[in-house]
Amino acid sequence: MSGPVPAARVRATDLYDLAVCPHRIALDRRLPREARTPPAPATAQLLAYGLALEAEVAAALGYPQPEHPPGDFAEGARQTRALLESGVPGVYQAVLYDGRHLAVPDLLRRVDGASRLGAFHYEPGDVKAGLSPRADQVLQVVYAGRLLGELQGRDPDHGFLVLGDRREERFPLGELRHVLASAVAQVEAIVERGATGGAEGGAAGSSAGGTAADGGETFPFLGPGCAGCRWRGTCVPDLLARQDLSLVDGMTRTRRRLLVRHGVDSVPALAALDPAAWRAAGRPPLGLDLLTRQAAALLERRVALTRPLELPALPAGALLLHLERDPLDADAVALAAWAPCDARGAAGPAAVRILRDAADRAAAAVELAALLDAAPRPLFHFGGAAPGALDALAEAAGLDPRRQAGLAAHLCDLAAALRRAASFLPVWRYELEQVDAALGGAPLPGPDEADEPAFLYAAFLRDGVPGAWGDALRELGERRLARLARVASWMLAR
Amino acid sequence: MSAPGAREAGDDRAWRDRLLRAVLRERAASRRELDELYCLPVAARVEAGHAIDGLVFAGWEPATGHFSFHAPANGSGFRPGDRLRLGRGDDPWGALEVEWADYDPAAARLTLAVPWGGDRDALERLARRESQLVLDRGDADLSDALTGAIQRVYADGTPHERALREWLAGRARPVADPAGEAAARDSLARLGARGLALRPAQADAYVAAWGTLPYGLVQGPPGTGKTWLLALLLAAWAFRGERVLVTAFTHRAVDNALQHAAALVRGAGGGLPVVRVGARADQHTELERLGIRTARGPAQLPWPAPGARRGLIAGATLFGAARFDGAPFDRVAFDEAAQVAVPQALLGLSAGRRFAFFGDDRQLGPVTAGEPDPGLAPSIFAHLRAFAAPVLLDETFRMNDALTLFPSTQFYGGRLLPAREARDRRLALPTPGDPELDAVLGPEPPAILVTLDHEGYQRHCPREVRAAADLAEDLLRRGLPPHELAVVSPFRVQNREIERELRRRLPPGAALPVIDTVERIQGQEREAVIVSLTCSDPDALRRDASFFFSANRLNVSLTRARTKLVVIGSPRLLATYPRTHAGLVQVDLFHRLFQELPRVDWSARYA
Repeated sequence: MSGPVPAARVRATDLYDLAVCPHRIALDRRLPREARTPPAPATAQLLAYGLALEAEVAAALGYPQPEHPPGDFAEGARQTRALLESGVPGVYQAVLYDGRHLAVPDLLRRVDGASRLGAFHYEPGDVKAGLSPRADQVLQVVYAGRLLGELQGRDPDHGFLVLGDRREERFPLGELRHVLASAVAQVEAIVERGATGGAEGGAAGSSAGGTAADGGETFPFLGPGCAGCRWRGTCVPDLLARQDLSLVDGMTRTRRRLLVRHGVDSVPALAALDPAAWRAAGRPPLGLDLLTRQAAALLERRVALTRPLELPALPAGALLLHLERDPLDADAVALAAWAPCDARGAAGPAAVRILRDAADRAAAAVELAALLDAAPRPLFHFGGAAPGALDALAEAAGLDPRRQAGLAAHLCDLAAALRRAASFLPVWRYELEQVDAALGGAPLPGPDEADEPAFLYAAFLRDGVPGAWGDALRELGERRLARLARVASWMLAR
Repeated sequence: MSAPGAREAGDDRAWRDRLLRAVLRERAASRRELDELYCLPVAARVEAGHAIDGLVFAGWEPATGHFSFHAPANGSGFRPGDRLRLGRGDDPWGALEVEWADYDPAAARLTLAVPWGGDRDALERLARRESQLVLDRGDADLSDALTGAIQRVYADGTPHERALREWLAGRARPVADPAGEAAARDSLARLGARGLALRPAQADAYVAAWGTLPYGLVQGPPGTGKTWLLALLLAAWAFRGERVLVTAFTHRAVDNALQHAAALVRGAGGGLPVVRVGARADQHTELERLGIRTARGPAQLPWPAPGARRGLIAGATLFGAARFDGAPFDRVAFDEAAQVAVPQALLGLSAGRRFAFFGDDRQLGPVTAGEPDPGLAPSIFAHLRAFAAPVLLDETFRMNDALTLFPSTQFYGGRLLPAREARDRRLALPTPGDPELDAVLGPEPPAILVTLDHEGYQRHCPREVRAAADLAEDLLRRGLPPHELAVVSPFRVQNREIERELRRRLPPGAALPVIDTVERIQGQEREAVIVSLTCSDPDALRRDASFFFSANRLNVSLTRARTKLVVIGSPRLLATYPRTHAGLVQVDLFHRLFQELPRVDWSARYA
C-alpha cells in the first residue's frame, strides 16, 4: 500500500498518537507512506519481537483468524462476525469495523454472559511486549470493546492485556468510557479536517490547533515522541527551519497555540516579547517570564553563569555514572556505565555493564558499592532519573537498606547544579546530549532514534544474536559517559 | 526445602528491608527537594511560597515561649506545626530550626515556636543580632525514630513483636473476640439507655473495633462521625478500667480525638483522666481549658493501679507514642490511619496489644516526597484492609442529598447516604443580587459546575480568581459567616491571588474564609465550598496528572460542604491523557464530574 491512511477512518492506533502527538494522525492521512521515515534497525527489531510474541501467544491459544484481502476491512469484519456467531472460543486479529471506526485487537475471547450472539459474549485483548500496561494500550482495548459491543449487542465488561512475561492484566472497560468518547471525538475532528482538506501551512503544517474544540487542527511540535516517530524526517527539519516555538523548553501545545494566535510564532518573536505588556493586555500569563528568557538564551547561544557553580570538593575525584532503565520493564535497570574522573573532570577508563537479569544487576550494584567503599567520592550524574534507577539497582542486589541509602547519598546531579548557576541554557531540552553540545558550542543534536538506548536494549535482549546490539549498547554507554565527562569538566573548570 | 520458620524469617527480613528502604528513600528525596529549593535565590523561594523574607524581631512572649516577628508579607503555605529554618537566607541548611505557631495577617505578626530539642538561646541571639531574617521551609528528620521502630519490631524480640510481624505480613488475620463483642453490645445497650442510640453501621463499627483481635478497621467517609465514634469507644474502654492511647500522625488529629473524648467523659460525670502527651507548650492552656491534662512523657502519666475500676485516656502523636515501649496500654486507637504510612505506624504498635484503626483511604493519604514503593500500600489502613474488610460508616451527617450523590457513587460504591438530618438541608441566604450569581448560589442546585472556557493556564488563572472572588464576596455579603466558607484550589499561587482579590474587595480588617489547598481542610467542613480547578493546559497536566487528577484529592474537595458546592473549571483540562492506566481512570472521573454536576457556563461573563 502506498497511499495515506484513508482520511475518514479512525483506528485504534490513532488513540496512541493522540496522546503522543496529534499531528501524526493528520500526517498519516495527508502524506503517502513512502514519505515516512523507516524505523531504526533496533526499533524494527523490537517491532518484530512484538509481532513474534503476539503470534506465539495466539498459536498457543489456537484461535482462528478471519481471512481477508489486505486492507479489505469490510470483508474482515464480515468474517469476524461469522466467527463470533459460530461461538468459537476466541478470535485472533478480529476486524471490528463499522465503516468509519476500525480496531484489530490481537485477541477476542469468549466469556459467559448473554448477548446478541447467544449465552456468551466476547471481550477484547492485546498482546504487548512490555511488562506493565501503558495508558494508550489500555485505551486501545477500550476502543475495541466499544466496537465489539456494537457487534455483539452488549458491551464487554472487561478487557485484557497479555504482557511480555505472559502475565495477563484484566481491567474493567466502563471506567474509561468518558475518556474514550472524548479521545475518539478528538481523533474524529482531526481526521475530518484531513478529509475536508483543512488548511495548514506547508507539508508539516504550522497553524494553531490540536483538540476537537479547535476544529481538529494540528501542528508539529518537538517532543519526546519525535525520536521514534515515522514523520520525524518531515517535521523536524521544518521545526528547525521555522525556529518553531516548540524548540523552547517549557513550551506546551496549548501555550504555543495561544502565542501563535497572537502573532508570536517563532523563537525570535518570543524572545522579543515583553511579558508585562502581554499580561497587561489581559492575556493568559503562559509562564512567559521564563519562556522569553529561555527563547533569548536559544537565540544568543551563550552560556552565562549568573551564580557560582556549586560542586562538592573532589579530593578523591568523582565517579561519572549513567544508568538506563529497561524500556519494557521500568522496574529494572538495563545499562550501568561508570568511569572515574579527576578533579578537573578528566575521565578514566569506562566500565559499561549491560544488565540482562537480576544477577547482572546485583553484580553491577556490588561492584559500584565496592568502588565507593574503596574511595568515597561523589557520583556525578545528569538528570533526575538516577536516584530511582540507583535504588532499583541496589534493591536488585539485595543491598542492606542503609548501605543503599549510603550509596544514594553520593549522588550529585550535574544538571541541577548547572541550572542553579545558569538558569537558562541554549538548549531545546535540558538533556545530556543537548547540554553537552551547548557547552561545547556544537550544533544541537536533533531527536535521533538510533541514540535511544531503550530500543537498543530491547533489541539486545530479544534478538537471537545479541552481539551487534551489545556492541551498540556499549558504545552508547561510553558515548554518554564521554558527554558526562565533558559537562563535568566544563563545570569544574569554573 | 526450607522449614516454615525459615520462610517466615525470610519474609520478615524482606519486610523489614522494604520498610527501611521506604524510610531512607523518603528521607533522601526530601533532602534532595530541599537542596534544590535552597539553591534558589531568596526572591525565588519567596515567590514559590517556600520562604518569607523581611522578618523583624518584635519580642519574646513569656506566656507561650514564642518568638514574635513583624512579617509584612506572607505568601507562604506554612501552617502551624511546620518545621522551618530561620536565618539570613544565604544558607538555609545552616539556619536555626523553628516551628510555625501562628500568623496574624491583620497585624502582620508572625509567631514561631522553638521545636523539641531546639536551641532557644541561639534563636534569641539570632533574632536580636540580625535586623532582617528569612524564614525557609524546613523538614523534620524523623528517619532515626522510624528506622528505630522498624528495627525494634523486626528484631527477634518479644512475643508481642513476633505477633506484630505475623499480622503485618498477613500471616495472621484478625479474628472475632466473642467476649469483646459481648462487652461492646452491652456498652451499646447502656449508651442507648442514656439516649445515645447509634446508627446501624456505627453500632457494627463499634462492635468490630472492640471485638476483633488484634485489630479492627473502621472506614469513616466524610461527615460520618468517625471521630465521635472513636471517642465513644475510648471513653467506654477507659470507664471499664482500660488504659487507652489514641494516636495519629498530626497534633491536630490527636487533639481533636481527645477533645471529643474529654467532652464525653465530662458528660458522663468525669472521674477519668484524659491526658495529652507531648503537646506543644502553646497548646497547654487551651487543652487544660477543655479538661485535658498535659504530660511530657510516660513517667508523668497518672497510670491507674492494676485492677482499678477507672482507666486512662492518653493521646500522643505517633512520635510521642513511640516513647511507650513494652505495650503499657491495653488498646491503641489510630485516628486518620489512612494518613499514616506503614513505617510510621510501627511507632505506635509497641505501645499496646490490641488496636483499632480509624480512617478512610479514599481521602488524602500520607504526604510523601519520594516515589512511592508500588509494593507497599500507601498507608497502614490501606495495608491492613487487604487482610480484613473495614466496617464502613455509611451515613453522612454533613452533606445533603445532592452533595452526597457523586462521592457516594464514585468513591464508596453507592453505599454512602445522607442522614435524614442532613438530607434536605439547603443553603438559605437572601438572594437579592445579581441573577447570574443567584443561579449559582441559590439553594438549588446544591452542587454546581461553573465552566469558563479558558486555556493555557497552569497554576494561576485570573479569570477563575475573579469568579471565585465574586462568589465568595457575594456569599459573605449575603451573610454567610467567613468561618462557614472555604475556597480551595490545588495551587498555592491561585489561592494567594484569590485571597488578595477578596481582601481588596472587603472592608479593611474583615475576616476572610479559609482559602487554601485541600490538604488544609481535610477533616473540616463548611456550609459552602468553592473549588477553583485553575489549570487548563493538558500538556502541563499530563506531567502532574497524579497530583491534579488524584481521586482522593477530588473526593476531599467535594465533601467539605454541607449545603453548597461550586466547582469552577475549564473543560479543556479534560483533554489530558496521562501515561498510566490509573491516571486515565482518574481523568475519566473528572469527565464524569463535568457530566453529572448541573452546569452553568460563565465564559462570557469572565471573557
